[in-house]
Amino acid sequence: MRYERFLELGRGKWEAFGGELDRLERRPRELSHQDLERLSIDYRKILHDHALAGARFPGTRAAQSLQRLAIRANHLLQWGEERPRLSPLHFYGTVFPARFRGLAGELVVCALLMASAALLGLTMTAIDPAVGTSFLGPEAIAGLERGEIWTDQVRGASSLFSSLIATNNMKVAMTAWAGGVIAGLGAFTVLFFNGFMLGAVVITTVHFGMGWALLDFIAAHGPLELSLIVVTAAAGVHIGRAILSPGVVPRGVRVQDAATRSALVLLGCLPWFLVLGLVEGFVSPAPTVSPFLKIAFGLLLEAFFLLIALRPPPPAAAPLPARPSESS
Amino acid sequence: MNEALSSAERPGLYGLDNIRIDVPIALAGSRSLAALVDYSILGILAGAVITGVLVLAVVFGLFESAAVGWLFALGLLGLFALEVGFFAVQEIALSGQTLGKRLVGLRAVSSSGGRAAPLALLLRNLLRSLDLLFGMWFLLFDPRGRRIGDRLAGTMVVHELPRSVETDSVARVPTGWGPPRIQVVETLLALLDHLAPERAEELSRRVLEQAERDDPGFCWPGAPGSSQTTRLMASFGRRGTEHSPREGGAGAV
Repeated sequence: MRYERFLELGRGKWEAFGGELDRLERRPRELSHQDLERLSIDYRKILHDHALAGARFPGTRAAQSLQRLAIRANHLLQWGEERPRLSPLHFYGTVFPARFRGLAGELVVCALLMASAALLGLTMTAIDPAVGTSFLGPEAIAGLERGEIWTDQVRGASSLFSSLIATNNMKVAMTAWAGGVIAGLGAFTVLFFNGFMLGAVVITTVHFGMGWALLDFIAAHGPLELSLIVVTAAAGVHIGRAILSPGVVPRGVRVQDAATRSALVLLGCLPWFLVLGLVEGFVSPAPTVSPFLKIAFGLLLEAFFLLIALRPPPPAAAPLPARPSESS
Repeated sequence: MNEALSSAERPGLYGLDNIRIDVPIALAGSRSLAALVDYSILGILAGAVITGVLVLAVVFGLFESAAVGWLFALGLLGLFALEVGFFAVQEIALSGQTLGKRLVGLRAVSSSGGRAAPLALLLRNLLRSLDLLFGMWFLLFDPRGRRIGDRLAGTMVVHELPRSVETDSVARVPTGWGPPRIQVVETLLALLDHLAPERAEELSRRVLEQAERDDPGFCWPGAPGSSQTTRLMASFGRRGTEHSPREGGAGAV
């Protein structure tokens, strides 16, 4: 086919298709089902013209225009996936628990790693108290010697402290999750460091006879905070696992799937850090709240989180009744 | 690196019926420029939040009261939300574009070239902090210019192309002319208004001579005093100047 004939035959069709794409972009809701059907058929024609122009008339204006049309149509007519429902009830009722359950293996590994790191920190600090000093600093140690715990400094500017704690914890959680990309190493590092520090700090305060004061401070927020660190790290490890062992699926596909699933777990955890920030800023340092009440509050908060996370999946839809012809 | 790829090696997408579509992948240069614009805006917004908090505290005399703690706490949360959500919210709201990307003419799309899902756009931005450390290496060496966030989210960044459909450049082509010569004519016709008149005349004359050699009788001989550019437009029949010398037309219309 000669170039001018090709232009003559296609010009009207291409310009009309460009106009339809403009309409689709500006007012997508105005398009009817028939319009979309027609667009998809026209898109196929445009792709064929694009292929012909690319093969027979490469580099010409027509080939360039058709390439632009093909790219634009491909962009406008293909959607990555359906826009998710934004309702928090739906998210915490269905999506988050489902994704949380998908991390069972990683959760066990991460919890064990954190417990082991805490035990190691505890043992090493018991052997060499300098380990605890390196975490708490000489000022805090001097305070412990005087019978004062560093957590008392929190009292006063509770609102600002809450905000600082919440944003800092969210950054730690996001780092633990993103660290999973390095074959899970980043997530493991965050877990190990936090576990080790916890063990070292606990044994140091116990050593100075301030264990009860520390428990008084961490009882209300500690259980949930540790759980959230483990969960977000497990979400990161989920990505690392997909990178190292994709199974029969291509690695890229498997990693994308794991990242999407684990990101939903991370997103589900982030609001809890805001709650924790408020608890850590107002409840934990409050001298008027009894330690037992704080312990009960902390356990209740943890139980509430687990209740949501471990919510059983909704019952599967009942199968459709068999048609008479099939049952007979 | 990816800049050195030939057209055959350049990554493409496959549309319906397995037809290849070459997408204009955005590489390190344009993406860095867009990021520079975005981070500048982010810096200005962060400065505005800090200034706003301080101004509010001063205007309402909050420094003496406990409310200042809450104000600073909100300011801190606002800065965090800005840091985490600035890119993601824009890309979700503007269909894959931030202000910087819009200015430079880029768009984040799905790996199949379609609209990226909101969750994918969120995901690619959640990994931004990691990408600030390592992303450039991935971006430089990946044929599709994907940083870590893009790889995990299944997205890529492409150049926005002009929307115009230009099919009215020529209506007639000399017999035997292939795509390279058609390209020359089309380019010359598109540039005629931007060239110096004497340069345009010279180039038009050379193209007309070549066309006449390859396809005698193809070119419009021209009315007395008509310029080479007019002859060129009339001979190749740019829309509005169609002329068919073989049919004995009188000239450009």
